Amino acid sequence: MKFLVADDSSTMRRIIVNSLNALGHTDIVEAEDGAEALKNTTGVDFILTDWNMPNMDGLTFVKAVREKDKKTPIVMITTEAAKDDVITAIKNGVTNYIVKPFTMDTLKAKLEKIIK
Amino acid sequence: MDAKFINPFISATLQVMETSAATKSERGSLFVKKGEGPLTDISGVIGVTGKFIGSINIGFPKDIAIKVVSNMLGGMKIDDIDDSVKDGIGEIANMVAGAAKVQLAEIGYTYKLSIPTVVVGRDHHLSFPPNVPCIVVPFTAIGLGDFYLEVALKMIIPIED
Repeated sequence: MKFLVADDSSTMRRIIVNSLNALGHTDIVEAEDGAEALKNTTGVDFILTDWNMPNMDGLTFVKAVREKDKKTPIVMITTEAAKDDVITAIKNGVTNYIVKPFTMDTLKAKLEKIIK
Repeated sequence: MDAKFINPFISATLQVMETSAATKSERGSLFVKKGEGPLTDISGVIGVTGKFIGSINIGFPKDIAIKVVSNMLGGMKIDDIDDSVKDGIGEIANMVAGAAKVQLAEIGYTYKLSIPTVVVGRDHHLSFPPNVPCIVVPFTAIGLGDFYLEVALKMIIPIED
């Protein structure tokens, strides 16, 4: 299974990638913003994206993906957790939501559940 | 500034430090910043626009910043303020402002967050415009030392209680 991880924070990307590695997933592409992520969606089975990113934010990225691809699961991993934000994200094609902050153990458990 | 606007940032800071960086902290007595405020070595700053304008700053001494980011990365060895520390402190600021945003949205006060900016420099302080009040909240990271949250916000939409 190939994953795409988009977050402008290298720390957060490392935490997410480490969590995926711990779950046995090593085919992972990283992107620093939505624009870079959009160039790297080919062959990806699972997308994990932040919301608040420079150049192209996560919501714009999700909308662009959903114009061509309705199926690939997209998990938003973000601090943008106000009720209206969650509703907006889901209306635009986000399939699951993980709210920062989290412990690595919590993230691993949530990702494991979502991926299954 | 009303306590109901400060408390979400305090609880968000405690939550983010404990959850994300495995660092329990205690808050001290807050005060209004006048002149040069607390001196720190690295600060994560988030701009805010919406019903509030201003910024949120979380500032750390070097050793605490390194320990906090090391904890975030599962105990990774870090010797100095490198790119990972700069990025990690920016992410701490982002999570604090984001978690507070959720609490403030629940009582009807919404704002948007900028991308984090990180300031590095031994014993620096941040200045804010004179017409934007800045509240400083000191924290003690247990076993590590003190760090500071600065909330400099001005409401641009009148409050209706």
